[in-house]
Amino acid sequence: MMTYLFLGYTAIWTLLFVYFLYVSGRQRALERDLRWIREHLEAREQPVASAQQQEAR
Amino acid sequence: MSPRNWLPWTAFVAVLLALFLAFLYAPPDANLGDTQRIFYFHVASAWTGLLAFTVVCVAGVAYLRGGAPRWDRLGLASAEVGLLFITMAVLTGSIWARFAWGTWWEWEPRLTSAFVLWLMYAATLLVRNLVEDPARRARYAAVFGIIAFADVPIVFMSVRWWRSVHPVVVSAAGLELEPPMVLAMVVAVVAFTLLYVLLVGERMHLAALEEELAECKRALREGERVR
Repeated sequence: MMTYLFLGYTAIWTLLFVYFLYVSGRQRALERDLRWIREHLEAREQPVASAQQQEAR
Repeated sequence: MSPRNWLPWTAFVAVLLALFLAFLYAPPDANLGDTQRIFYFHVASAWTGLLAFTVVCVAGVAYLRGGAPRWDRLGLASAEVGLLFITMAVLTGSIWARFAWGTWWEWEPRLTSAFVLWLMYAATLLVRNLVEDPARRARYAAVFGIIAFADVPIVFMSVRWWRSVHPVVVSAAGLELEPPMVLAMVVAVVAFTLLYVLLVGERMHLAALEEELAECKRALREGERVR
């Protein structure tokens, strides 16, 4: 009789746990990608900015 | 203080309290015994699912009126989390049905309308994957979310409008439960609502990160093209 009760609760918490895991894992992956792209963009803009500064002088 | 600091802990405490009340405080049902305790989280899941789809409809209307991307993010997050809670409600309902009615599924009004609701919101999420252009995708999803909302009152009223084997919990006479059972149910509903708010917040943050990443990638591609 209790099998159905525990089956029900297992279904609920498994689904919630898997969804939490998916959202937090994807957030971490995207934050990592964003950091990498920002660093890449900044590194590319630095030589341009210093060339503009030299030209201004 | 940001909700991201206190909300997870509040939801966690509420869930613990709900579990305590459902398993230890509420008495077993006279006919169904301890298995009836599925009911507390089944009702809470269904309530949260219906709330989520109401939010999808409101966010859809707000997006179509103003076009602010945050409404689209809210619609997406609420549809996804709502689908999760409706899945939980359908699964626990099916397990309950196996015990109480001797069958996993019955094509009766409440179960059928809930299944149709599940399909409609799954379709809403699929529509998002089919359209490339972000503005068009958001518009289609908003319209789809508003149309799908038509099934929410049908799900709620189905046991009142048609003959159904599904029990009616909230009737015109009020809740047909003993007071400790009502308390356990209300706390479970509050706990799941808090979980919903928490999950929607996290999903919206994820959607914002996805948009930012797409923007950065575009900037990177354009920069390479200029070179």
